[in-house]
Amino acid sequence: MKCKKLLAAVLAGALCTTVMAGCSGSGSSSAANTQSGGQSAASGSVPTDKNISISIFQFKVEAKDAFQKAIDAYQQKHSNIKITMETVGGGDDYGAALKTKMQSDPPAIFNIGGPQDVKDWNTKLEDFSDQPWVSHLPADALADVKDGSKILGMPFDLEGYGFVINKQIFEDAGVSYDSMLTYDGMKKGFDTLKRKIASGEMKSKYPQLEAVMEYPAKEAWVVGDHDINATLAQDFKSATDAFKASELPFKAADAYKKIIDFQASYTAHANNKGMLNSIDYSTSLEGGLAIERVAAIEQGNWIAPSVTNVDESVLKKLDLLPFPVPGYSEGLWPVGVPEYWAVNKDVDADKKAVAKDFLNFMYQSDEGKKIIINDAKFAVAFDNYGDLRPSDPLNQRVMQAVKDKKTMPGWVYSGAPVTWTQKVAGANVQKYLSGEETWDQVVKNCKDQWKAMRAS
Amino acid sequence: MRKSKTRFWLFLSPALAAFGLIVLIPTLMGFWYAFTDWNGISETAKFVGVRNFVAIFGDQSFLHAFGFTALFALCAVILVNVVGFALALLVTQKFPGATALRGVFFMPNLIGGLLLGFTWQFIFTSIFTAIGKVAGWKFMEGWLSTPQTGFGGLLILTVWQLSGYMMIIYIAQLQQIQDSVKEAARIDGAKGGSMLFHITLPLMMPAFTIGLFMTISNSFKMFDQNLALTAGGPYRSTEMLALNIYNSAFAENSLGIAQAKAITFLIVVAAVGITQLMLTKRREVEM
Repeated sequence: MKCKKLLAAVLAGALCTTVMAGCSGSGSSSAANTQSGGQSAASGSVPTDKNISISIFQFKVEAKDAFQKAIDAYQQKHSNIKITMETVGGGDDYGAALKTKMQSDPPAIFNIGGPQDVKDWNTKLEDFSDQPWVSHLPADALADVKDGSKILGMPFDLEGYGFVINKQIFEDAGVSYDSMLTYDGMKKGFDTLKRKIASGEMKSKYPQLEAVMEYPAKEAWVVGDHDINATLAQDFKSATDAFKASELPFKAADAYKKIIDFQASYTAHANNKGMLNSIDYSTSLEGGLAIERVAAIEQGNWIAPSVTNVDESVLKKLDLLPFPVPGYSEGLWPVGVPEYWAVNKDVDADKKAVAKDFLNFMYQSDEGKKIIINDAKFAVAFDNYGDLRPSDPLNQRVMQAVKDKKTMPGWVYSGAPVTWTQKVAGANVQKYLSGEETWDQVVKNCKDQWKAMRAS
Repeated sequence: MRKSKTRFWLFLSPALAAFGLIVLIPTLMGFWYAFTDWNGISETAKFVGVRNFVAIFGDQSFLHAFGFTALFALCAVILVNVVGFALALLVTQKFPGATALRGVFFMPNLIGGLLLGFTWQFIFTSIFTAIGKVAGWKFMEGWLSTPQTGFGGLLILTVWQLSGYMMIIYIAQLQQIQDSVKEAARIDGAKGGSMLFHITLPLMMPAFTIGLFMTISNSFKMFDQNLALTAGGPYRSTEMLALNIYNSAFAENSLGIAQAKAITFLIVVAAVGITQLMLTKRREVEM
């Protein structure tokens, strides 16, 4: 009898503790809410008389050291401020980690993606519209993080993609970069190289070279996100447009097929396309392009650090061809902002002021700009970076495309229903490559699932 | 007696409190979330009745994951235990190096599932391909690129990882069987095969109860190996239940749906586990 009572007491005690913990959690956050409401007008000044510590929770592993450098520089200027940074690698994993982090130890600065994130996290996002950096950005760089007059995110960097080619190999095969700016030109150039590889002409200079391209179909973000983006860009002007669409017109579906067939047909597995489903990103990059086993892959400016790690001399030979949408558009590079910085609205006013000031420091002070360009190796959308330019050919090509206005929106796919691009489009393309589905089924599934996912 | 009972509960209470806080209460909270439309972010969750439970039985990916996991568990349970038992028989023989081999076979267990998954991914996609090219064996190429090789890969990894652990359990039980029993059997004329099937195996039943239970629950609940090795690919064909639930919760932002799946999963695994316990318990014999 007694033991039962004791058990009951223990369980009841345990329950009370959690209930109280739950209460105190929500209590403090609502207190922070009211406080932020009252002081937001007066925010902007960074206090110098008290110790403040803020935390950053970010996803860009590649730029971790650069950000730390910026943090150190900032802390040196403000001895009363302590900034800690935590990094969790990209994609869904960051999203999952952020959700749990918000429940336990809410960071002051975190990252958000496209319109879906803006909607999901809306109540946590601080408005940036009074920040000095806003006026240095073109309007389209902020289109996907606008909510009325509010600006809820600060662009991380500019990323652009297309067909990364080893210009040297193509030139040795007698094909010039300029001749491949269109789909037909690319086809011609790739055919020439394919023929020369088959005949053994390239063997002496490039002993490793076995195919024109590699196509990492195992990565749903390659066959899904990137390859479908140009097609979606024919239907929608921006991610926000796509986000609002309850149905997918998919009018350029034939171009999507062409670009997939195109890539598959220049790989070593052209006759057994199902095998491409086992090729992953690093096989195509570190074990492909970077060792000159292949001469081209569909990727973007973010691969520069990885190529450098394998062979710096190869990076200098690379260049970026535009992403053709055969029959719809030619000569344009998909460029956009993949991710944004956000400041947590629910932390107290001092922390918010520091957070905003730090972001401003990192992207707008002379010291910060140098770190962003030289250490993080970012291409940026800001117009006040002067002569500071990224040094590698891929980033330069992206910046040039932006300057010449030869870009198309690169992150339209982030407005698709959550998981649609990878788990529907990407997965169906994998089935198509393995021969399990016809192209018509792919198109039908893509459209049906879009509608179903929007409806639920 | 009374006093010792009080002490019993007193000493148990810290563990019980921790268990309650970390397992029991979250589980009960999970039951509540299964009936809401919570997305994992917003501060409010709306009660939606049994809608989530209706939805998951129309969810093809969930049903596929269920079938895939069940088939996988069946194959894994048989293979892990057969291999584990065979290894146990092997290393309890007297030959030089037998003790060292125990350590070697147990070793895979000490490596985390994620690491194992990535290591084996490299073996399957790179080393297998290289061997296949050199030897001209077509079946070695393109592993993990089809549902069949994905399934095979997961199975090989699991057997390799879990057999060593089962081996330890079986060794412990094998050593419990007294020599006098074996000797008596031998005098009665039992030889190799009949010795194994009529003496050793029946006396091993208590270990099989544990071994089967552990392999069943482990292979049903498998997550990290699945995530690291195939991540469900190609085209979600090798997505197991735990990964499917994780994807619903964190990739699709439907925590309510994920909870409904998790509860269904819990009930099924518990039912399978308890049935197996009852069946094998009945066959245990005392020495």
